[in-house]
Amino acid sequence: MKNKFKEIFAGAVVIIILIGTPLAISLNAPWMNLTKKRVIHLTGLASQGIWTEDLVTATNNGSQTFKRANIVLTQDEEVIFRFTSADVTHTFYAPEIGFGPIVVEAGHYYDVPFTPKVTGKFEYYCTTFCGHCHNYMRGNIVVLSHEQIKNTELAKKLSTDTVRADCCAPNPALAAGSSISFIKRGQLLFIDKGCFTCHGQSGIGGVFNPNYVNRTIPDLITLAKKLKIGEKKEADSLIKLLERGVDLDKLNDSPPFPSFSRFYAQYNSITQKILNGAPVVQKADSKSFTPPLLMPSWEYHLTRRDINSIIAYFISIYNWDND
Amino acid sequence: MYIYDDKIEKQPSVEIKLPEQEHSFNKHDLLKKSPLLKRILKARSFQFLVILPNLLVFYVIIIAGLIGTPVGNRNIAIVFIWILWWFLLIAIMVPFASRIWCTVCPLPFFGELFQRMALIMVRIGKTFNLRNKMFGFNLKWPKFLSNIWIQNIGFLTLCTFSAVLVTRPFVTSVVLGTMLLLGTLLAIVWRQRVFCSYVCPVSGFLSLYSMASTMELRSGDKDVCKKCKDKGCIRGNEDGWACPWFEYIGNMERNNYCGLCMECVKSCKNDNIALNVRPFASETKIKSLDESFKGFIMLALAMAYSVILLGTNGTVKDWANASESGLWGGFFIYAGILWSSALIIVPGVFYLFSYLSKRMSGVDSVTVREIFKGFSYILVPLGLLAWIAFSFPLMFINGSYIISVISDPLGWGWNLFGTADFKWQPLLPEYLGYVQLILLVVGLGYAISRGYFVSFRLYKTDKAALMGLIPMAGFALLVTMAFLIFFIG
Repeated sequence: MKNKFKEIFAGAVVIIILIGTPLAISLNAPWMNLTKKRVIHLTGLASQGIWTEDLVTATNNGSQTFKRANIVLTQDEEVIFRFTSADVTHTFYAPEIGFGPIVVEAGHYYDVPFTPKVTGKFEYYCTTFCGHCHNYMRGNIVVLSHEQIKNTELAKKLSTDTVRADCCAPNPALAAGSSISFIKRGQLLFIDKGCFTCHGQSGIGGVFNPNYVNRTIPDLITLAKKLKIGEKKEADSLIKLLERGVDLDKLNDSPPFPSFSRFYAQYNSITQKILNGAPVVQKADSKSFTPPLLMPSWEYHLTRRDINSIIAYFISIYNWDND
Repeated sequence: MYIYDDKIEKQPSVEIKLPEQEHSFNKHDLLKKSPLLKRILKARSFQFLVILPNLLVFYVIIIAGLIGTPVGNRNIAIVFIWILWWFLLIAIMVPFASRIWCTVCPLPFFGELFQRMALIMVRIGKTFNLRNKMFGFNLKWPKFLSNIWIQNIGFLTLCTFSAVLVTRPFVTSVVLGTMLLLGTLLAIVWRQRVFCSYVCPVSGFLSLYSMASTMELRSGDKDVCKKCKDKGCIRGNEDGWACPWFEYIGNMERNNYCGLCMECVKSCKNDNIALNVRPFASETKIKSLDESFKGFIMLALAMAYSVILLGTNGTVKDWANASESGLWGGFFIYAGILWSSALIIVPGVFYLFSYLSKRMSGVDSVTVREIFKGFSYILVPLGLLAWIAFSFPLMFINGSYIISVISDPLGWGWNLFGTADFKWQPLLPEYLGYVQLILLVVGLGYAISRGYFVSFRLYKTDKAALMGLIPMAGFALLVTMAFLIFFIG
């Protein structure tokens, strides 16, 4: 009788473990909202270059494409942003609305209360260089008034994704052994590395950088001029030199064209900026926040030849007829 | 192992061959020294109670691997299995307590529950030749599979994908879940613990390295076993289940296939079971080539892991981690090198050294194959200490993750014990090289000193044994030097 009781008790314990464990876990899951406030879950995902509101778990990470978060809030609504990262350290920053920067370490949770006071559409960013998709880690926080929020069409329109969905797909043309031309490689690298997210499509510039003294990120389509190249003939000879991998430093004694020394000084300055980044930019309002878009260092992501191919590409597309 | 029921059916007239005594070591029976321990081990609820907490942790680990954070160092599936469990297993349990992990392992829990339809009590009845009532089909495991080749190949296969296995909680969960399922299904179809004995990839290396352990479960007096009519240890009785590992303790001379379930402690009518403490590496007999090859596989894997997990070569790491790097061509090169090293190159080199050993000993009556098999024992202390040396940095560098994960096992922002935000903190990294050096030298010392016993058994005279040992000691030295380069540079 005593043994039978022990057996029944042991069985009951096993059943309690089998049923109780998942139950207890699910009741304490992050998506179980026990507060009255609205909780917005944002997970940073470097591999896809997004902040997402989707649930990222060990099972679906790596096999699923998640949706970029474009958050719609109501003015004066008290919400809690619950940040986490599924891979590396990110920093969430929406400077124009005064939210952040919030450093989000992988696997940790950060609850940050937030109440938007002004209406409008505000971009958020990741300001920790988190990988090759870092430049795509942005989206919108749309704050609508109590009247506007009733207009579902407006809310939907404002929260539409503005960043290309295929942004982080690796380009096979850039793989080792590819036979693309030197200039074409520069063009593809500019896209692949996400440079266009700041320097604009095809390098036309114009991407707004909040509180930056020049307001927008510099274009690159006038790079030939910035490099002090005088004419198309000089540009063509420079492209050839870059393609051949000639050590430009050695040409200072016998310059290939008269203005070579001026070009070389500018070229050095620009390549150093690409290699080392430009972590400090001039603020429009020196007392206000740091502009979120800073030139990152590409030293460990681009070779000297990669950089030269990008420079050659922009020299090649300069419209000399405009001079 | 290798005792088949047709032999047992002839009991009690079965003749038990006592193991030949080679060299004697001092042993101390813990059950004689501690009546409390004896009482605990004799309690029917013992195994259930030690498996139960493990079952709970294991269950949480599988759930966490599926729905917890994908971040490895914040998920209990990765941190507990590949840092805590692995270190405890290889550095503490195996060297000091033999296959104690098998005592508490939850993998066969449901299979055994199905077979016994009991968690604590014993069922009396008749199942083939046993005196216990057991459920399921109770088929006999094929004789040609009654070895550890499946475990060898299974372990090598799993380890080929180790870069993914030890970093992705999901993959860890799926592998553990599959093993649990396999353990259950095999128990439904076949007799007793065939999963543990012949299939479980962890069990394979536990069997080999437990030979070196400082603990053993043995018959207290083999003459008592010989005269025993009951044979409850192997046939079962009202006090205990028949040995689920197919072992007869009356002639058991090695730890390899004893899972320390302690059923024989309960069922022995003569109170003749001893839990001995003994010197390290007391057993020196490798009985078959599957065991020899387990030694080579473990050695090759320890070297491969030293390069992949502890090394600095990014290309090899990328090859091993093809699921992230996408370098599948490199992965097949890596896998090819790993498999050929484990199954052809290292054994091939060892065979050459075995041939040299025969030539140097001047003894013609022993075949190179026998020398190869016999001397493969030196891979036990050598390999085990190398694995311990490899595992120290895992624990000391990454061990602090255990503290944070205990409070937040799924990486969901919980803080159960207030330690969730404990920062990563490597422990004594500056001394790890010295610790590894000492461990490797100890392994080399045991390989050579115990190698002499093997050599004497093979060549019969002192002089021949010494001469025959020289090439094998050279092999052990080369392996140690290789590990020193991998670990310390």
